[in-house]
Amino acid sequence: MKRISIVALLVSGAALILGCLSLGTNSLEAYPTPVLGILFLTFAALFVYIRFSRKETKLAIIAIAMLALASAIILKVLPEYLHGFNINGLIHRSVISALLLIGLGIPAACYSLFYFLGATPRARDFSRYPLLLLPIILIAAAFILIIYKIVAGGAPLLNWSLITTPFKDQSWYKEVWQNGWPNFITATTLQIGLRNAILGTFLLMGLTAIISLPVGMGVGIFVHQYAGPRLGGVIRFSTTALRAISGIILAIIALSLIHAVSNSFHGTFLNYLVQGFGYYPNGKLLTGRSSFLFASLFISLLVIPIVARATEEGLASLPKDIAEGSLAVGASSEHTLTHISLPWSFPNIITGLVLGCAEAAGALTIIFLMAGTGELGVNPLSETTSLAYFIFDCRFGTQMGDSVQYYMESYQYTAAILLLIITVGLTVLALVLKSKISRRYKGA
Amino acid sequence: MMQRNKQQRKSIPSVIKIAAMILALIPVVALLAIITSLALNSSKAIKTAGWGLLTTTFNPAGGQYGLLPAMWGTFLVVLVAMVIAAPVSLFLAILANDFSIGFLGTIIRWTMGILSGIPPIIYAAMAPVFFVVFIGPKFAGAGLPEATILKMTQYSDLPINGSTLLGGILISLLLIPFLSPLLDDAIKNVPYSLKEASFSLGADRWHTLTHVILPAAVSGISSALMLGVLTGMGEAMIVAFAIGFEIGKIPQPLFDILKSTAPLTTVIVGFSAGGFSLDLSGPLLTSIGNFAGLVLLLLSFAILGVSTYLQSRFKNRFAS
Repeated sequence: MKRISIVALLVSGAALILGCLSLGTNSLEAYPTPVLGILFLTFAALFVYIRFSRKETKLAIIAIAMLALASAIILKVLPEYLHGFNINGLIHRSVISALLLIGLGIPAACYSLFYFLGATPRARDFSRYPLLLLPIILIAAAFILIIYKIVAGGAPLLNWSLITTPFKDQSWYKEVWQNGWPNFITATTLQIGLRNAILGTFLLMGLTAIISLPVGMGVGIFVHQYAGPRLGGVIRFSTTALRAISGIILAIIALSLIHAVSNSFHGTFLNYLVQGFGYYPNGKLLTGRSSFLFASLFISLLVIPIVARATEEGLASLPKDIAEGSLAVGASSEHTLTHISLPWSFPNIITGLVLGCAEAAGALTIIFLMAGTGELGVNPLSETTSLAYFIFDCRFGTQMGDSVQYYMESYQYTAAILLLIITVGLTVLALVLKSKISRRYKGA
Repeated sequence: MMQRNKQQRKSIPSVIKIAAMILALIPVVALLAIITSLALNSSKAIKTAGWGLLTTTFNPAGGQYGLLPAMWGTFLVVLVAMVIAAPVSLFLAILANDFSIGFLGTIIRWTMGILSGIPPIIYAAMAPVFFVVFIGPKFAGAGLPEATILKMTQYSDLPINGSTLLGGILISLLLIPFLSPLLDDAIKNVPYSLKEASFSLGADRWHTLTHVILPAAVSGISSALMLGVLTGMGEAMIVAFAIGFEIGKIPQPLFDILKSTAPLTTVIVGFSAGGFSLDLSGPLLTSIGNFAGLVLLLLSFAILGVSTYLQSRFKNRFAS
């Protein structure tokens, strides 16, 4: 029993490994058919053995064996590339062989593990691990591919001057005096660097935090402390809905607002406030697509729900005995709120804010239609830019009217590394804070 | 003097309350403003195209503005993403709870927490890599002998830049770290007494999982999956990189995921913004972009409502 089931386990393991590899490469075409053939033989033998030694007829095992035989025959018959059936494309045979190998390998591995471990109920529990683990291994491979490509593509280009130089591609008319006469020549600056994108990411995070902290706390306090079930339900639904609706909807609202302002108030201060401005080296005033302030106003609509939820959770987690103790010594409910409940929920609020900052750093969906390259400086009233937008610009720069795509397309993975350091770092910080919070006093 | 003190004391708390109320109304007002703005801006599209907005051909030059292909594109890409993401994140949640060995549960929770910090643009930027590694050799015939290509000239529609399949795979990678904590919560919140009852009757862990825990958690799980659908539906960056902006017709055959069928979000990008700049592409197309936004918003509300209802049912079920 043990001997035959270990052979079955090895064969089905080989089938699984071969199936996973076939998803990634085309060059293993010779192997699926023999492996499926051996799988058929082993499972037929296992069936016969169980039939005679334990007097059980296991239909599932003979079904696996028959399906293995059938799929071996199918793979032998199929041409290398399938086309037709009106499908716009082709399908390589390895896709089908991978699907067949994985689809047969999982139940085969489960059954052979079950018999290998002695066919007890405990063995039945353990025999489900191939089913549970295999899809996760495949997805882990995809994530490893992503991380590897980013690090391999970006890390060699990462250096100090790249981080400290702002990207600049500007040309303007410059007045020079030649032989006593003024002459206008075209001056150009071309610099490769990521400084303004990095600073812009931090500025966006800071402005978003400043805007969304009071509003989010207000929402959380009101819903927890004052609102009745109906008003509270409405406010809670609309905060959840703000988070749930697509960022692209907020983007078109922002876009039509910018358009309306630039149509009706062209050249006024309001226009500069919304669109952002900067100066060329010759002093010429330029308007951008939108300012940091305006962009972070819209990003904070995404962050407010996070902070509000965190505040509410923090207030709700206050142990009853502390709150009652405060009320018992004569404090009013407002005094309890400001001196007991809010300090108690402070770590929760900070966690929410940190998560919100990570969200703001990566929130491209809202700003990608109204951000620029950040050539004209980084301050709350200049044109929005961020690392996430920079990565976007490396692909769609020419369509956006920038020259980033020409000069810096190879640096997109470097920008991705920096963005990942910021967002993943903040997320890890939030996770650590969360695990600290979960360990504190929970009340008697 | 005493009276004034009392009045002052009373006036301070009310300030907090009023301030909190004003701040709390901001999300409500913002949401109402969003709905109003979308409705006002899409009135031109409704006036001009009318029921033509719900036909199957999109061809602005010919005066056909059907948005059904884009809706079908959204459905397809979310379907592909959920088919991959839902089982994987469910398995992750199961492994973290009932089938955990040693520190496996902690490792899974921390890994998913860290991966949830990856912003969508990273996955979007990975679209060409995934194309070269996976779609190209498997579906686009990279490395195909030239004689075979010549034979197959009738299939000129090979996926060259991307496909719905690629977009679905990348969105599923985004969804897995998002979904697995939600599913983890749904499974964790099944009362331990139910499991104990099942174990005491002699059931093993797998039987308890499939016959007790999953049926008890089904409303929580489906609510979480609805939120996943919502996130996948609203994703714009990944589909812009992996699928593109072309909408024309509903693919034939219907479930052809090797073709790129642009979803609603990219239609909004393409036509509301006129290809990524502030020079909008004419008032009518802008208005059609807004109408697509309105459709997306209404769909989101419907899904969110169902999800909230399911979640409240899940909570009420184990309230006692």
